[in-house]
Amino acid sequence: MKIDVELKNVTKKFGDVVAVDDVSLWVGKCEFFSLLGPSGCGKTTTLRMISGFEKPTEGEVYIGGELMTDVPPFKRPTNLIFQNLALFPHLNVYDNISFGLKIKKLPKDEIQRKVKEMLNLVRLSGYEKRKIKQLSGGEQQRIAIVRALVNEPTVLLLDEPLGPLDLKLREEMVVELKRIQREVGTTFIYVTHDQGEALTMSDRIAVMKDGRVLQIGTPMKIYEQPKSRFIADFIGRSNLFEGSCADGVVEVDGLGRIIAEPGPQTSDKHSVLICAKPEKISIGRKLKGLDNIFDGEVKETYYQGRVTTYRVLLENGSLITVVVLSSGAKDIFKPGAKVKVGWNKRDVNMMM
Amino acid sequence: MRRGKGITIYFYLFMLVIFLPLLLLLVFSFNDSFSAGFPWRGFTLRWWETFFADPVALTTVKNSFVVAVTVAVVATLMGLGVAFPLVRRVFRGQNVLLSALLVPIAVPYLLIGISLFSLLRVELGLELSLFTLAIGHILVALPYSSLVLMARLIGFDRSLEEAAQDLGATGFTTFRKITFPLIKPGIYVSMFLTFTVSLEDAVIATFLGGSDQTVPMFVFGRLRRWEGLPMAMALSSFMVLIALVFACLFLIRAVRPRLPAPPPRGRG
Ligand SMILES: Nc1ncnc2c1ncn2[C@@H]1O[C@H](COP(=O)(O)OP(=O)(O)OP(=O)(O)O)[C@@H](O)[C@H]1O
Ligand SMILES: [Mg+2]
Repeated sequence: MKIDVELKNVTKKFGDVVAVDDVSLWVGKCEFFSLLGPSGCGKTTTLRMISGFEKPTEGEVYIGGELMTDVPPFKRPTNLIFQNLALFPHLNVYDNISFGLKIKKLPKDEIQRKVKEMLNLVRLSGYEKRKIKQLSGGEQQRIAIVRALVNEPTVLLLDEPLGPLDLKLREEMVVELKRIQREVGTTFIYVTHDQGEALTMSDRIAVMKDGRVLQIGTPMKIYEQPKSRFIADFIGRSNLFEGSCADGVVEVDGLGRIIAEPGPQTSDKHSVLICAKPEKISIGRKLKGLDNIFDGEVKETYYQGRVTTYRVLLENGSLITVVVLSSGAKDIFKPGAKVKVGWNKRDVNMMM
Repeated sequence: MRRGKGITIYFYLFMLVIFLPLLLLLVFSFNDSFSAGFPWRGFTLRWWETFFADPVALTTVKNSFVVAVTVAVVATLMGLGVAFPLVRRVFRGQNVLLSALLVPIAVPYLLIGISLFSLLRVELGLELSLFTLAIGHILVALPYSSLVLMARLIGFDRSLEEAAQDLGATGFTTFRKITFPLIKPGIYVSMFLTFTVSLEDAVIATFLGGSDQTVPMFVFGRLRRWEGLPMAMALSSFMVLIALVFACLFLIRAVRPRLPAPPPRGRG
C-alpha cells in the first residue's frame, strides 16, 4: 500500500503536559484509519498536528511523502472535521460548503455543481439556503462532513464526528461515511473513543493511551489479540486471568490449570495474563469437549433480546462475563443456578 | 395568544416612556410660544426657520457630527486594537491593563476635561479646536468601545477561524470572511455608543473645544436668554431625529443577526 500520512517520533508538549508522546505511525492511501482511545489520550492533538494547527515539539509529519512539519494549515492537502463542527453561523449551507472552493477560485457553475453533488451525497438536497441554526444536529454533522469533503482532500481528518448523535443516526452515519469513503477514495483518519465505531469502519486501528500508541492493527487483530491488559479491557469486555505459565499450561491461583495455545515457547515459568472474550465462553449444566471447563454459579442474568449476558462467579472468586445467543425461556439460567463454563484453548489469548 | 398580546402592550408602554419626552420636545418646537410647554398657542415653523437660517447653529451641528463620527471611527478602531490582545493573548499585567482601561468611566468628565486641558493646552501648547476636543472624546469613549468589543470577542469561537484556515483561507481572508462579519454587531454597537458619548458631551467640550462650538454648548448658551429657548428646541429636535436615524442604521444591523431566524420556507 502507498503511504499517505506518516508520523515519525512525534511528541507534543503543552508546557509540562505531554499530550502526544513519541508517536510513530503510517496511514496508507485510501485507508480508513482510526485513532481509538479514552478521553484525553491525545487523539485531537494528533489530528491537529496532521492538519497543521499544532507544531510538534519533536518529530516529523509527512503527507504524500512531503515533510509538512512547518507548512501552515491552509497549504496542507488535508481537511479536518472539527470535534465541535465549527460551521460558520453567519453563512448559509451553500456558503459553508462552497467556502473552500471559492477560496480556490473555481468557476461558479462548477462550485454550484459540486455543492449540489455533495448535498445529494448526504441526502440534504434543497438545503442550500438554510441557516446553520435551522439545521438539526445530525444535519449539521453531515454539512460539516461535506464542507470538508467537497474540497476533495487527499486526507480527511475526522474528530469524533458522530459524537453528539443518537444511536440510530450514528449507525446511519457510519454506513454513510463508509459509502462516501468507497465512492470518493479519500484517506480517512478517524478519531473516536467508541470501540464499536472503530471496529465497524476501520481498515486499521491505532489504540492510544496517555499520548502513546499501544497497538496498531486490523480490527480483528486488535479485538482478538490485544497486546496489553488495557486494550483487552478497553475493547470488548474481556475476562482476564493472571497466572504463571509453563509449556502452554497456565496455573491460576484458586482456579486450577488453564490450557492455552502454546505461544512463543519458553519452558521457564513466567507470569502471564489470559484473556477470554465473553462470547467465546460456553455455558451449560453439562459441558464436554472443551479444553477448559470450570464450575460456577450464575450471579446476574441480563436478557438483552438477541443475546443474554451472564455474570458467573468462579471458584477462585472472580466474576466472569459470558454472552450467549438467547435461545428461549426454558434454557435461560436464573441467578443462583449452578453451571459449568468452558472454552477451547484456541479461544483465549495470552499476554506477557 | 394572550401572552403575546401582553408582551405587545408592554412593548408599546416601554416605547412610550422612552419616547414621550422626545416627542414633546418635537411637538413644542412647533408651538407658537416662547415657553417650552403648554398651553398650545398654535402651529408655527418659525423656530425651525430661525434654526436653519442661523449659520452659527448650523456650524455647531456640523462640528458636532464631524467630531462624533471621528470619535466613533477612531475609538472603535483603537478598541479593536486593545480588545484583540486583551482577549486572545496571555501576558503579564493583563489584569492591570484591563482595570486601567475601565477607570475613565468612573472619572467625572469635569476632571477629565480639566486634566486634558492642562495636558494639551498648557503642557503641549496645542491650539484648542475640534481636534483637541476629539482627542478628549476618544479618551472617554475608549473604555466603552473596548468593553463592547471584548465582550464580543470573549464569546468568539476560535475554531471557526481554524476551520476557515483549514479550508485554505490565509490569515487576512479569515479575518475578512469570518472574524469581521462575526464581530460586526459589536463594531456597530461600539460605533453607536462612542458616537453618542461624543455627541451629548458639553463638559469636555467646554474645556477643549476652544472657539469651535458643538451643539450642547450652543444650546446651553441659548438657554441663558428666554427668547433663545424655542430655537434651541428645534435644534435639539433635529439632533434627536438624526440620532434616531443613526440608531436605526447601526443598532438594527447589530441586533438583527442575533434575533431568532424566521422558519425556513420548505426545501429550497
Ligand atoms: N492547548 C492545550 N494546552 C494544554 N493542554 C492541552 C491543550 N490541548 C490539549 N491538552 C492536553 O493534552 C491532552 C490530550 O488532549 P486531546 O485533546 O488531544 O485529547 P483527546 O484524546 O482528543 O480527548 P477527547 O476524547 O476528550 O477529545 C489532554 O490531557 C489535554 O488536557
Ligand atoms: Mg478530542
